[in-house]
Amino acid sequence: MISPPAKRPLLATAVSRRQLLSASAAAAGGFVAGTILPSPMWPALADPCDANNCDLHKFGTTNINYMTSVKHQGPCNACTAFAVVATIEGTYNRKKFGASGDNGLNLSEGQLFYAAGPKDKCYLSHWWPRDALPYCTQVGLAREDEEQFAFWDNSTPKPTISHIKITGSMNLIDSTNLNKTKQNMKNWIFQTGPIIAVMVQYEDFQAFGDMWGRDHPGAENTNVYFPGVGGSPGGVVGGHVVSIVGYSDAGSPKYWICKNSWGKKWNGDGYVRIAQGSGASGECYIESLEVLGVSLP
Amino acid sequence: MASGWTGLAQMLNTQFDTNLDDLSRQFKDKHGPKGNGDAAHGKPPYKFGQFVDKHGGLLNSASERGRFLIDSGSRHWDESINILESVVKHSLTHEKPVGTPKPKKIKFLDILTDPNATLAKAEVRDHNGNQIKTPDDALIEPAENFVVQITCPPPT
Repeated sequence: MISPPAKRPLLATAVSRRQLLSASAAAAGGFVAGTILPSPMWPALADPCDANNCDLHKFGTTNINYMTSVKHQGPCNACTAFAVVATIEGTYNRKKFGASGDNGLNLSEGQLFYAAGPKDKCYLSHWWPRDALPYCTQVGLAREDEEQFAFWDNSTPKPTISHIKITGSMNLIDSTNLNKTKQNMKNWIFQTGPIIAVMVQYEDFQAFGDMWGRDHPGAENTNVYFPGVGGSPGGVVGGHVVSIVGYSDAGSPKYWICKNSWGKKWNGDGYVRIAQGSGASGECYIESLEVLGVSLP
Repeated sequence: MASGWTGLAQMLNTQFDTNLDDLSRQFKDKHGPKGNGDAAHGKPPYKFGQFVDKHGGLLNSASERGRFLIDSGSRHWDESINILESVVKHSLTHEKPVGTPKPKKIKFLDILTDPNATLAKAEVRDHNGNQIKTPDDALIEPAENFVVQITCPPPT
């Protein structure tokens, strides 16, 4: 069990992801967070509390050990490709390899962006994950080291040696019940792997991580982001997509652990904690726009 | 684009037609007396989209509000968004004489779609049909009301 974290300025919860992992493992009697348990396939286990395993992830869990290193999407509006690929990688590595990080599957974001993205490519305004996933089902993605695509070259993709395909995706949103959506998300993170999530990006989101990364290079930021956390949220920039790899319900505010695609220096280590929503206006709606898990063969 | 905007123009028009004084009061409560924010009282400056987000009834669900916010984001607009924000602030905070609220009506025309556009744009005209060309255009102050035509890229 995790002790209630001490509050810090900016509503921080002073518990590191490493602590979260070890605490989850302890609570589970040796269970390593992210390990697949012999449990029914989703959605049969709709409410884990019904299966008497609430305590296993009551306080949070994370798939961070299955994620590849944080990437940088560069100047293009390519967050969808990076979040989708990160989610597929994490799900695959957890299910197939049991291996961690860059020792596991590392897929090509460039292939997805240039082969399946909208025609406007680099400066596209909208590309929803649901529109990227059919390509991952029908064509599949090449491994990064096998890809035939120059990442910043939008030439016609060539056939690749092999492709990793997904079998589909699971919409985790219950449009009538935010708490049910959040429970769906936690169940998926606990049972299957990371999640693709779209959020509203306010001006202060990038600044939040820029400032921390500048002042604390390499250090995890345990502060929790929400619009206006440091004052005014500023204007809305647009939409953004991240991969939610874990969560914590241990303190206040409760938060999602998100892998971003703005490089390892942003926010100290490239990850960010985003407050779980309450349904109020002024949030970043990370549970309400598109929340998708991916399924593998 | 425009995914969260269906019907929004009509709802806004209804608010401006039937509820203008309330709309003005809510706007100033949220964004300060001139819409430029009031840091001392925790009021943020007005940005297009956030007023809709904060004032329930215009869009019902969190998903609708979020999508509208994304569509209204600066990444998706050309510089005409600054003109639109300026006119909204002027309209909803206008007083005549000073101290007496006299908000001006804004009519939103049906949203157009430009298949070749990559950014949204707003064309704002005064009651005589003259186009407002800058955020501080001299036509804004004497204008009796405004008409806004928003054009979006195709939906994706």
